[in-house]
Amino acid sequence: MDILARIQAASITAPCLAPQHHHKHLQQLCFPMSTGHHFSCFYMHQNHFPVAMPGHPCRIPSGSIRCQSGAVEAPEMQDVKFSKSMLSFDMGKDRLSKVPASQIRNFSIIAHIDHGKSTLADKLLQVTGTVSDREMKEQFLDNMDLERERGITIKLQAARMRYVAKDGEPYCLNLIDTPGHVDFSYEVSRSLAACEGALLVVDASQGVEAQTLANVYLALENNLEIIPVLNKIDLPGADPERVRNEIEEIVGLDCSEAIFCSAKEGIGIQEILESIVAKVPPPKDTSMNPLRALIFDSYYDPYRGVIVYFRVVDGSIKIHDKIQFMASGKEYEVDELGVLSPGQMQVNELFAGEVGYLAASIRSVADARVGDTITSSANKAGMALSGYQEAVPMVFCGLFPVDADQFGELREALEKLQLNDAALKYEPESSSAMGFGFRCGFLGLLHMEIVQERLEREYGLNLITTAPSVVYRVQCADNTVVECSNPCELPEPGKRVWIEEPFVNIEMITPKEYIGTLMELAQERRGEFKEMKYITESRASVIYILPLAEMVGDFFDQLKSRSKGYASMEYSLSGYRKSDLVRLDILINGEPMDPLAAIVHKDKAFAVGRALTQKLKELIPRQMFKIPIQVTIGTRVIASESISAMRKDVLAKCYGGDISRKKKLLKKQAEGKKRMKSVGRVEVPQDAFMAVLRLEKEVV
Amino acid sequence: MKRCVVELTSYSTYHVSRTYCKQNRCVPLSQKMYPDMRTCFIEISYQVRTNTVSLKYADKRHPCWPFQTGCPTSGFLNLQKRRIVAFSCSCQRPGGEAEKHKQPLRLRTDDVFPGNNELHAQRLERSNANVHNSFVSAIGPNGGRDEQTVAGLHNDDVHAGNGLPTSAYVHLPFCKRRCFYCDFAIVAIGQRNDANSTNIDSTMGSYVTTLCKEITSTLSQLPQASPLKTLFFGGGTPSLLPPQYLSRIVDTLDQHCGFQCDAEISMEMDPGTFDKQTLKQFLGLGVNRVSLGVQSFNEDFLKACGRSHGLQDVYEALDIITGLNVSNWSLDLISSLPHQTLEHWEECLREAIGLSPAHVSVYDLQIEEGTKFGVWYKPGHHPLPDEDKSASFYRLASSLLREAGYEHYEISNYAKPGFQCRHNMVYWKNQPYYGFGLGATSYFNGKRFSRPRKLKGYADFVELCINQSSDNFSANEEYLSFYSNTVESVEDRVCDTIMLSLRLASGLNLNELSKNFGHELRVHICKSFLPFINSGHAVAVDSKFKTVPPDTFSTALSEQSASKVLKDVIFIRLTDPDGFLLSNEIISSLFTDLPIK
Repeated sequence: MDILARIQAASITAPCLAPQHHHKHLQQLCFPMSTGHHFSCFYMHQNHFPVAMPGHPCRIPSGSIRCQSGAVEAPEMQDVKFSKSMLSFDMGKDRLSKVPASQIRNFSIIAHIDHGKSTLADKLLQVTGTVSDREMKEQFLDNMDLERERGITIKLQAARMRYVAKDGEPYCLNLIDTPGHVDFSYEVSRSLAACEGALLVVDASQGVEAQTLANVYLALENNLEIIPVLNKIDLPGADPERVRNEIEEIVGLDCSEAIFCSAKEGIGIQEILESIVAKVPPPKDTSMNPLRALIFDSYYDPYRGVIVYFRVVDGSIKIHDKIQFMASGKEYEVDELGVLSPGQMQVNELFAGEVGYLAASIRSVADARVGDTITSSANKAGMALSGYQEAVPMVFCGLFPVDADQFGELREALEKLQLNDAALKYEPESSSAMGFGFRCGFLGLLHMEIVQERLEREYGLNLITTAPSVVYRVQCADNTVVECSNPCELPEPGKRVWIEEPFVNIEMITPKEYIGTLMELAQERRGEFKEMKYITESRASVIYILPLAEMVGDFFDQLKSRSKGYASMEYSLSGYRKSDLVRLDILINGEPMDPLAAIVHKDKAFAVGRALTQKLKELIPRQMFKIPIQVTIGTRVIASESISAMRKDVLAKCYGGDISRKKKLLKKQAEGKKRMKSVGRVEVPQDAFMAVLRLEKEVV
Repeated sequence: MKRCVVELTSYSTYHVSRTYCKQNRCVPLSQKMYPDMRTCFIEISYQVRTNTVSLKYADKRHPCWPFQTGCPTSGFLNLQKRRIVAFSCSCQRPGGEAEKHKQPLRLRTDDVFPGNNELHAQRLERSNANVHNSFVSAIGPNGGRDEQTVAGLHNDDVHAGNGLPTSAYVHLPFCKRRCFYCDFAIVAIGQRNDANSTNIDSTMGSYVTTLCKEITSTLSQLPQASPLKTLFFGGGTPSLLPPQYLSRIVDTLDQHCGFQCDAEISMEMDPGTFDKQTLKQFLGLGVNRVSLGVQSFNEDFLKACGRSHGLQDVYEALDIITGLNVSNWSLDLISSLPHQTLEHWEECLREAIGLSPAHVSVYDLQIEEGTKFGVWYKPGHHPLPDEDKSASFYRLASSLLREAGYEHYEISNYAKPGFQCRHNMVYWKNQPYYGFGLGATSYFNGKRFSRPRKLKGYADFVELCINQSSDNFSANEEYLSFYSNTVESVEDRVCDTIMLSLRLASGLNLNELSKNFGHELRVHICKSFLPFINSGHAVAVDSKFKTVPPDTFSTALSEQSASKVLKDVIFIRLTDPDGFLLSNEIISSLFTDLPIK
């Protein structure tokens, strides 16, 4: 999948978290405030980071159905509007018919990346006749094109299947998808909350991984019935017995009835369906109560407004009902109501236990956030469903337009993006070197990349991005605590007593041969060893406490590459701790470069300083004079380099036919200069700003 | 140099002189009739009875007459030809009165090319006196007028892009093969042999037909095309074109706009593509400047570039050129070739200097996308020289060639005094020019337009041009889409002016700049130049060709009101070689600073 599709896929899935009063917050966030403190407040309220799935902010969430990138395990059963009519005429009707709650089974599939979640989901749809064999292929292709062309992701949110079990009864099975990226773990928990059961899919050759565990715990928290499934048993390396024991040992699940299956070969699919019918409890029939429906996903459709995916928990919902979102307090009238099978098929009414979607001309996903409860305006429920959370930005960076005139456009673009991405936070910021821009908060690094890319590509903005940072707490001499995510705002050394930074608990699950190298990695990243246990003879779980700042870099990439891809990881926020941190200032040609200032640990200052000067030397193009680059702590120079003067930059030929082309070239060069920021007489390209982000790699 | 005389014999002194005086540059003769103006003597007579003009060619050194084979010394011109028509009409008018003036009219070349001979002398003197060598060197063959410009008086080049062109570029795209570095619009035809000769001729023939149609269609739409001062046959390899085809092109141009008597007609030629007879015929058609694509004096480098010729061909070509006494010839060289060392390059330059061409073009190899070199090599990486080495090649060329008496009048061009390429000067002075042929670019009526680069596309385009002149609505639409480019904006014109003029040793003419774009821009640009003047990459020059010291310049700028010093700075030019070497950096900085959005 190309980057754009990936961006769209992920951005649409960005979770929508907000407290009841979020709207007020949001408004404040959008307008000038004194400093960046506000984000930090959200951050502080967050006692623990919601259990997350392994995966790294920079990675494609390839384990999820929605963002599947591989052609083999492609999301073949995704929703395609084109085939909607055909589906509903041919075979959709029986799926739409009303089923008593006792015949409904709501479940999701939890698995580690590449353990076969999408293939299994595909197979289930095929076997139940929800999607024909022929459509599988076509739909997949169509979807990819649509994603690219229309800039939206049509993803499998949920699929309603009709299955006639061995007992002769027809059942309605609802498969609810879960997103697959650590940035969006809150969404996973909401999807799980919409189910009564879950298939725990484990690769019969790979065994339990970090994400498996994290998901199982999430599922257990939501009281789901878990059905263990050992997938890929057809593979030569499969050892289902061993893996079954592993699950029993590590997860503590009874695996005596674990199903051996191969989704690819279609082995065990029938058993899985039977097992869902038999083991997953039916939803409670509470259709007489006032309406309560849990939103587990939503996305913005430019024609119909926000499309909300929900599970009816209590009561029923009808088309043209007046509904209210309990967290945002907004009221709407349902314009369209339907189920996903997997295409959208309209129905008139949905009852407790059922899963469906609605459109109500909702203007922004912020009004219908994941986790929010839908109730009826006429007959309001007393209490919202529990589990709703505020989106907490974890990573911050400054976004500045290269051209100061684009500030207004940037603001508009951010407003538009927020329509579909309630997790995006921003507030105006100004810097002496960069002019006016925004300090933006993101769920993680992937989220940040996505937003930057979209601003640049879709809105044609030229942006300069500062290095991402976390929120530091500074104890000042005057007994105040300053929160700061911007190195430039760090109080002077004389004014501060200590600095605290956020730490995460990180669990890495790895084959034993990589234990050493991963511990080395964690150690390099200022990790503090907590615990190690062998989960089986050959695999261990290693737990560290690590500064979040060390993780926002390339930690996950390193983990993967150093373990040849075998290790997995999971993290959660553990709180703030004092650290011996210093601010590195970068001087180019003697001029300090505020946006490149970085907060690093004292022990690493020299290595980082050196790496930074080298990187800058590499990235700042030669100019007409020699340029010294220095890194300082206070006034002490800890590293320096210099860029020699440019020798030659000349167009050999310029005759009649060349003039337009050469002029374009020179104008482009001039544009490039505009993209650069002048530091004194030196022009520094945007890449140099990102050097700070990458510097950790260099240090290793 | 001999003072040469053109003698025009006419029955009507009055009318001839009036035609001449009124248009000031219009001599009722076509350039192509006398290959070398300096040695010819021509007699024109008009015969009322036959309504024809007869011309006598009186130079024994070149006893050839291009219109008729067998080299008679007189011939007849068809009166349809525009220049002659003008002449003959005026003669016809006063009946018998013309008979009275049988005195032949004598014109000195001084009258034909005002001040030309004196100028040579003047220029030499000045460069000997060592006053801003490179600056003075940039004063073209029409030095007299440039001087007027310097003094801020009159200059008819000021309104660049306006007015009708007096220069034309004609693209002749055929090449034996494509060189590895080349991304021009060319048509590779292979080696000519018995088997493909007919094919080649028909391809060339139909191309020339199309080309002539384009010329006709373009020029006949204009109210009155001015006679050409310069014509450049570029390519491709124009020397591959059989002379009879070239003759058709020259004829067509002559018919529709004609040539000024001192017109420069350049032709690019490649070694190994012409023999003595062919060149003689080209010269007979009026070609008076040859640009020889030598590229390197090293067999291995020639091979490595994918050139169609070897070193032997180079020397044979040189023998032919010198054998025919072509004095105005240029030699092209490429530096920064793969594996080239400073020693190789010096050898190559010395060889070139030894051959004493009137003009040398030295091009730093540019790696273009889509070429073989583009696939094989990455600029700045082995085997290509790195930036520092490539810069040293440039410096070496500049110092060796200047030592040898060549003026470094443009970034990549060197000429002996008086031998700058007048056609190319038109580009750099941002003056209008026609472009004819495949991929050719024209600049007139303030528009730059590039023709299609594929034969088919070009033929379609010409077809549209022709239909456009008739009243065909749909063709008109299409034609407009071809010409959809609009008149260059002010910003573009400023950029063009800066970019082009800084390529020249003379630099940017500030008087012209303020005249065309306002005084504020002048001050603005001066400010943008300040860091480069301080760093020695640019120099400010006053009306007496004296360098304005950087201190004086910056003080003048810092004063609120534009001081006298600033007014006195007439030119800003880049230094050679430091400023030239970083010209892109400097020009793009100036662009960045431009106040125009």
